[in-house]
Amino acid sequence: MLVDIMTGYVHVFQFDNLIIVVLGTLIGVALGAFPGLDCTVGVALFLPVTYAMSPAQAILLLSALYGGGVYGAQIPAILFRVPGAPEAVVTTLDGYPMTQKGQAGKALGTGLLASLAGGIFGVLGLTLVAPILAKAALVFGPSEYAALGALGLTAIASLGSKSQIKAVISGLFGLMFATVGMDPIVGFPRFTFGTNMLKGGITFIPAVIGLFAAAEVYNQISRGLNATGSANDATKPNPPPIRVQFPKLRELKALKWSSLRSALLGLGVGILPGVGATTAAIVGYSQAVQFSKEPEKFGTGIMEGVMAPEIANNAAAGGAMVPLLSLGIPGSATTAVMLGAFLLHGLRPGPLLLIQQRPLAFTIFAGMMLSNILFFLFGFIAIRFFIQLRRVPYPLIAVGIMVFSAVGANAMGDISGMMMMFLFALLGFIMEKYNYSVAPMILGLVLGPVIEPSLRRALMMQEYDVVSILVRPITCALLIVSILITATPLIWQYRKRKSLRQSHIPVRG
Amino acid sequence: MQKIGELIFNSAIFVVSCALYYVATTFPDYRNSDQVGPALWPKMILLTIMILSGTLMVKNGKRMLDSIRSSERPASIQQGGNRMLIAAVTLSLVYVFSVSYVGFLVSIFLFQIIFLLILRVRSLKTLILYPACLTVTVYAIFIKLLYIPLPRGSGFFLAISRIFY
Repeated sequence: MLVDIMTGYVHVFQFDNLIIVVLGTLIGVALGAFPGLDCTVGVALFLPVTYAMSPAQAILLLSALYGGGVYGAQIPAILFRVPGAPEAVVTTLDGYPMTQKGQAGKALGTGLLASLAGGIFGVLGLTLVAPILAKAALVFGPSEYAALGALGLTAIASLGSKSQIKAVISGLFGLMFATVGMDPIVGFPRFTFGTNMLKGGITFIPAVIGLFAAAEVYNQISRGLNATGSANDATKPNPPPIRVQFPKLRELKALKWSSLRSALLGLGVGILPGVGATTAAIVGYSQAVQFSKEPEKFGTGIMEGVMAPEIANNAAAGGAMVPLLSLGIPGSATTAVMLGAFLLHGLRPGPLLLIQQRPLAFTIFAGMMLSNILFFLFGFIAIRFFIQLRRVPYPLIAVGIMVFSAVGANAMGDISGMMMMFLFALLGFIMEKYNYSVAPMILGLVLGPVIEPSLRRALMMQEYDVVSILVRPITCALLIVSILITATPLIWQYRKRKSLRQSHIPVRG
Repeated sequence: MQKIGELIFNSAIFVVSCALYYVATTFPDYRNSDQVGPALWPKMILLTIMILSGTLMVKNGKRMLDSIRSSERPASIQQGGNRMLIAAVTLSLVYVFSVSYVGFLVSIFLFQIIFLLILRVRSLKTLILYPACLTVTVYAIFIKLLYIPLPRGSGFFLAISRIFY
């Protein structure tokens, strides 16, 4: 195996291949940072470019683009609350508040380091345990997916820093929006009101752009800005200079278990077919919240809130390649497009690829590893570019955000995408005004299409016998963990209140 | 003002949930192929939303009554911000509904100028140059480089768009 790994690196460091990996990573970071142009779109757009390349070069370009894209999305998410791609939506929750508190440099440094760590972990996982993990992923059936979705939903209560009821309502909004469109089992159009626009369901990217980017512009306007800038630190006319600050060793040590859990969960979720880096980021973030001694601090701008999702989504990018390469099943939307690239170049991913095309497989692994190191370097350039944007007066930034939001939403479909984007922007603005966090809604939107069809399929397969679903070991374990995670803080709160009440009872002598 | 707004928003959530619940009751049964059917999951979600938003409505109502009793003064309203916001939202809606007739390039250029005017930018140079540069950037990246089909408009605007893409 060591020889295979070395051969892979020798291939990658050949001049042509090296240039391709460098270009792929650079383009990936740039595309990831553009709202509306996520990794899937990027890989699809560059698929025709690979026609003239050798199979190895083609896959190297696309996998480097994928890795760079997952990283790039976090920069505008942290600086402007504009996630470049859905993968960075969760990073916005603590990244942007850090910027508002004047800690943008630290947030960017944490994100960069977390992406590097997560990416390397993902590629190591891919290289060392790909075939074993892929077999384990096949054990996951519909009931396990539904239970995994339920585990992701447990973060909802923690995301509502001001009101838990409002957080739950927001999460339910997301689940409800996810039901719009054709029913996943019987194909009946639900809540479409006879319009074609809603038949395809609520498109995720326009909804995310609207809820985060455009809604933030309305928020700033409602606070009353003038031509020179706005009230918050992120957009002052002469903001303090930002220098990328990496977390201190002491801080990293404090986060070591949370980071390890995020990396493992990210890799695990990435390996599961059909669940991508966005879900991985959510699961990574929710575990960090649930295991934290101060869960109420999440969403207010803390380092761990940037670290956990960024490690998880970058680890998931490597993880998503596991089922693709070892089983021929795409692990995410992006790897589904990459499957097309394999077929285009006469390659059939699957167990035989790792046996018959071993040098190619290890060249891809090495290319992905190099891409992770490269985006760490290119990250500085991209960050510098976006930091310069902060010097621009807010009205110009606001117009730029609105324009790219409109184009990004339109790029994901047609005018209906743009319409959805503006409607979600309005909803996001109103929700924020009345202290409803929009983050749980995103959770619901992502996990709704995982939970409902999986649950219904599981019920169909078990002939509507709920008990036989609950006794499946992985399903049972995941549900127990979900219940424990939800119940533990409530029990703690109850005990805390009880002890406070007891301490206030006057002692009778 | 905030309390009244919140009460209205929570009431709207409750009413819309009730209406959608009614819509869900009209979904057909597919007992032969799927005993759960397309209505059960949304009904469960909507019922929970109704209960929770109803709880919030009662809480809001109580709080409002308390504030009336204690003759609490409403917080001052940022008139300037509100006017700007209404103008910005109206412009966004007008833009969305007009883009299919006017086409992307012309509408996005005009949208930017009016948006900047709403945000009280008065420099003529900024009002012309910035939207022009941004429109050219969007044109170069999304239309020329990435071939993303953006709306062309109709009639005269369609003819203009054909010159560029």
